[in-house]
Amino acid sequence: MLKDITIGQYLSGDSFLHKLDPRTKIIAVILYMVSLFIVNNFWGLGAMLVLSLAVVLISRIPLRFFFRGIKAIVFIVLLTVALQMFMTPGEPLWELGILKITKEGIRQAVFMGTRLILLVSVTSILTLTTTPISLTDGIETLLKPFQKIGVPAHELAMMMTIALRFIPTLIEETDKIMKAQSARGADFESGNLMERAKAMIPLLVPLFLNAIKRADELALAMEARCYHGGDGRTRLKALQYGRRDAVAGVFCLCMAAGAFLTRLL
Amino acid sequence: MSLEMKHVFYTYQEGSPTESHALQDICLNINEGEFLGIVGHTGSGKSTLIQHLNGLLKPTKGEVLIDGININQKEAKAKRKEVRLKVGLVFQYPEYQLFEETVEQDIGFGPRNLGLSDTEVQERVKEAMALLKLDYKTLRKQSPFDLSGGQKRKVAIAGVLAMKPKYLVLDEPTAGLDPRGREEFLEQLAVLHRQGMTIIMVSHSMDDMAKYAQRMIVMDHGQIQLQGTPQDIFSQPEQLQQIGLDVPSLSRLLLRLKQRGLDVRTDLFDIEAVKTEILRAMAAREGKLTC
Amino acid sequence: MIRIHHVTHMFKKESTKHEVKALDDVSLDILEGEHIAVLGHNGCGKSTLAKHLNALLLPTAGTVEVDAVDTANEADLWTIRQMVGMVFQNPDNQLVATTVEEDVAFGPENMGMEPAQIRQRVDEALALVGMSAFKDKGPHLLSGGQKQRVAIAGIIAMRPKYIVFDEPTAMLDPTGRREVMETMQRLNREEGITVINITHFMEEAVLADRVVVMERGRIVLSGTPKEVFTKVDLLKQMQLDVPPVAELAALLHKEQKQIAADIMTIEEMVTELCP
Repeated sequence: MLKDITIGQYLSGDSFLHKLDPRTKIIAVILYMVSLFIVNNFWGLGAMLVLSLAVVLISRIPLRFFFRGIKAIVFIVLLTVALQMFMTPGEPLWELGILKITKEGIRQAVFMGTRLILLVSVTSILTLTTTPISLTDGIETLLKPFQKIGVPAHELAMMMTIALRFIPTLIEETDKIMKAQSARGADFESGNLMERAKAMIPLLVPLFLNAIKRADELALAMEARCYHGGDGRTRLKALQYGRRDAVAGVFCLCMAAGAFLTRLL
Repeated sequence: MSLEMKHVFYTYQEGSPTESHALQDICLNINEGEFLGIVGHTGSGKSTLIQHLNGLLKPTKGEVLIDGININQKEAKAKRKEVRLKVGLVFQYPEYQLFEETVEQDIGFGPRNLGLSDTEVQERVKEAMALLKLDYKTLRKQSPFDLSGGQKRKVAIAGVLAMKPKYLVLDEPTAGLDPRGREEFLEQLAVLHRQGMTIIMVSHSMDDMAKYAQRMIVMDHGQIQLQGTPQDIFSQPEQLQQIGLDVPSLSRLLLRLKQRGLDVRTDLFDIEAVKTEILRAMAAREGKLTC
Repeated sequence: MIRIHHVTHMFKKESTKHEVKALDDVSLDILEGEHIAVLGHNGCGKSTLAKHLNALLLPTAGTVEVDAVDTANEADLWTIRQMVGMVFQNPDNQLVATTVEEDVAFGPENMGMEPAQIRQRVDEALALVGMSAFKDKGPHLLSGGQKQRVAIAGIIAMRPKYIVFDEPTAMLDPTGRREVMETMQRLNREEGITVINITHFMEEAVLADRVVVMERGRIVLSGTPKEVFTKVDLLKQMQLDVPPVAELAALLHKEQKQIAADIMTIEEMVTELCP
């Protein structure tokens, strides 16, 4: 189940999307989300669907990745669809006791379901075509202007980088501690919810303590390598907009404008 | 009574493109009361092998028998846990698993999982601590996290000993200890062995193997490449060097001396024995020269 | 030159609130281009000493000077840290970034270098430790020895004059240990970098120009490896490892006075016995 979630995975490649500046991609995704929720008729939604499909094709990422991603959220989609279908008031089409389906309900259900699926697919494209490093770099540079009003842009990006760096290490460590504790007769698999939660203590305490120790040592190592925050720090790979980004940018603005126009129609 | 591996294969991520054969046709018999040393490179399959001994990993093919009982068989399910706990497994850097507030509680974790009464648990803790010369009275109420590195490790190992295993498997138990701590620890292990505990130790140190192991297996590429007493193994240095493993330095010295024409035995590594042997060979050479 | 002048370091133990003297009036001069090993048991003060060399710790009494700059001088802190690089024990806990080359770039980035210059330094440093082929890999895919070589590259990219290795091989297997030691020696011989290796492995100390043995926060023995390791009885008393051949030489010398006692390596012994 966990490995099916496509948001957060990166797949190397050299498509147009892979080569875009991460900032462009982040802004594009934001514009896309806005557009997706602005469009309120089927023509608009259809256009967004075609557009999304085009983006998927341009990314040259195998379609099965998207299906897997959708599979992982299938429960949420169904729940949303059901809620919308039954809870939206309006002209009833079908009734059974307190359950009733309305025309507006069906419409809402189709809209929300499609929106959710598109949202997850396109957000997956962002992470599937962008390395974690350039993603954090992108977020850092985009947040820089907000530093003046107290947004710790550099610190946030550094935290993300370190988190990404240590996730595999911590997974490995979790596995090791679990094995070691089961060698002492610990049982992580049986028992009711309370018992299971209690059984996690011998796993979580060492994991947490080791993480703190790691953090201490890492901080020391970073200091020894002249780390003193974001001030005066340069980067190996400076982000640079290219012609590609201009094209993509104009395209996204058109999309957002188009979305607005569908409302007026 | 023994630990037995019969034609054991183990494959990581079978069927995926990253599939790797960690163990290939391992046949191994570990007798009760033995001190077995396991050497080999990182990635040679040592760690995978020892995790089979107490059922943490299940063979892809083949059988693992603890005292004659196949631990992975469905019929044995009811007895599986009990049988598995006959084998105590100490991982590398075991001190990283400590979690309780006091030394006593941490060592008692295993026995409590067995469902023993409080007095029985306490008895077990006392015994386990005594085995490693940890003072029960002064340490029991202390937090394990305030102890020195060497003592933390002993507490963690006592936690395994408190399960009263018949077979004790240790993965690199001296890694990261300083020479004093290492020496002291290995001596205590030897005492445990003399008291009848079966010991299976993974180590990189050939000198430690030479000193403590009764029998050794050398692993490479998921297979047992060499097997025998330390004498057997260290007197065939070419094979070890081919795998990229070292020979104890005194064995290397004897081999070099023999190459240079001094007629010495090459299957010794105890320092006193080597001294006597060199003196004997030199005396013999002198004798020849004077004749 | 790094000049450690009558340094004492006290710290409070958290659990007991007792003051502990981790370093007790230590004086030592480390010359440029030297390869020096500091040997001793855990808790003898050797790591505390190491952390004084790049101002991660400051002396309670006494001074540490790096090229005549006092480490207590806060204004020069970053210059000192750039000049004195440090490689730590746990290979995992000193790599910051998600790829090898980004990690090596971390130091130069902190120094505020131009991207082109950082690129050059990163490529050079990775080549020097033989890790160029791994530049796009994630650190978690590397072996312990490889991680440690990346950590060394990260230090080299800052072009230090001195590198302090704080038990860099304690958590490695023999292969990793060999990789790190070979890299360390090459940096010293070919690049002229001063190496200070803090260790408890006698096999590593033997490779140094000078060995300093510490116990209870003091320097108790110092000299060439040969001078130090042929003091077999003294080392045994301190429960330190003695090269087996040196120990054998001492035993043989007791029986037959014509066999020299100050022998440390296998080859020396072979020449001695079979001339």
